[in-house]
Amino acid sequence: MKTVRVIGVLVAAVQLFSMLAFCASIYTIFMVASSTTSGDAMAVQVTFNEAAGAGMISLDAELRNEGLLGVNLALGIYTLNGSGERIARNSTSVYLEVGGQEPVSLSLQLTEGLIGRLLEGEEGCFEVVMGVRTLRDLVGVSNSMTFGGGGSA
Amino acid sequence: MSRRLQSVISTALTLILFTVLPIYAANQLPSGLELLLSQAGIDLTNLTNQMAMIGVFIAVVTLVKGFVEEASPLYLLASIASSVVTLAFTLVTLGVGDLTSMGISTITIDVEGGFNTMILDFRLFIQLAVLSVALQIAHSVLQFMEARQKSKIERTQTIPQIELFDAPSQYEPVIA
Repeated sequence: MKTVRVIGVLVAAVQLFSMLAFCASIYTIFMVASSTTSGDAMAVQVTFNEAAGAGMISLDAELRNEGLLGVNLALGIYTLNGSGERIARNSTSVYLEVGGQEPVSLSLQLTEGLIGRLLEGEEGCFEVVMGVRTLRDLVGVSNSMTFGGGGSA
Repeated sequence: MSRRLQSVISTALTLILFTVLPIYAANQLPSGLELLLSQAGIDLTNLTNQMAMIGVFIAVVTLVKGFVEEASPLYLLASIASSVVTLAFTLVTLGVGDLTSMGISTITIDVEGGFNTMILDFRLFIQLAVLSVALQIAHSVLQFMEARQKSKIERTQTIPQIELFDAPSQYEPVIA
């Protein structure tokens, strides 16, 4: 009799925790992702220095956590070769408390020729990855935007 | 409230929650979003059909549970089936239609000049659902054992006490 009751209470507790954790983490991930990607919060730029024959891909983002839980936010920019392998990378990750805010700036320096070939889709492509994990990294969503056309990732 | 009435109400609620609501929500989605989902490889019709079928099964099992005795093996079977099918519902929902994804889903959408890949990691909720189902099954088995024991005691109490009396005379051979 007692065991049945204890297990019944445990079932209810697990189900309640699952429901609350699911709602809180989905809300947090949605809020962080939408505030990071909306408006001017994130910008990817490609600049050339013709004199030096080099180019730079830069990513500037203003990360904000307007959710209910703390999050680990990972951002990265990559260049991929024709077979989908990452040949250049720059990435970072930050922990944001609830209501926290942090600017992040990443850049990749490449030769002008390579950037041109990447942009025209002749060789490989660019990739911007954003990962949001919450509930002590147990739940997460990762979004990878690949552009440039030549990659097979 | 009688058990039967309770089960009828539970069945109606289960049907609304697991069958009517997903179909209604899918029909209310804007056509643009539906197109986007199909581009991402999500078959919305298949997903809602799976959810609705599971909903109907859970509703039937809930109804059966209300109309059979708690000490009956059919009640135990219905309880276990209900728990397992609820887990299947969670797997289908969190796997965006893929029962075998076990909480990790990959959605790829073609965008202008490239593509967008989204990876959803909901393994924690699958693990919690498995834990919940395991506990529910243990709960059902213990409840069944308890109900069986109770009904056995009740049966022995309701059997009329047969008074034993000496009636050998009926069977005594008649000596002529």
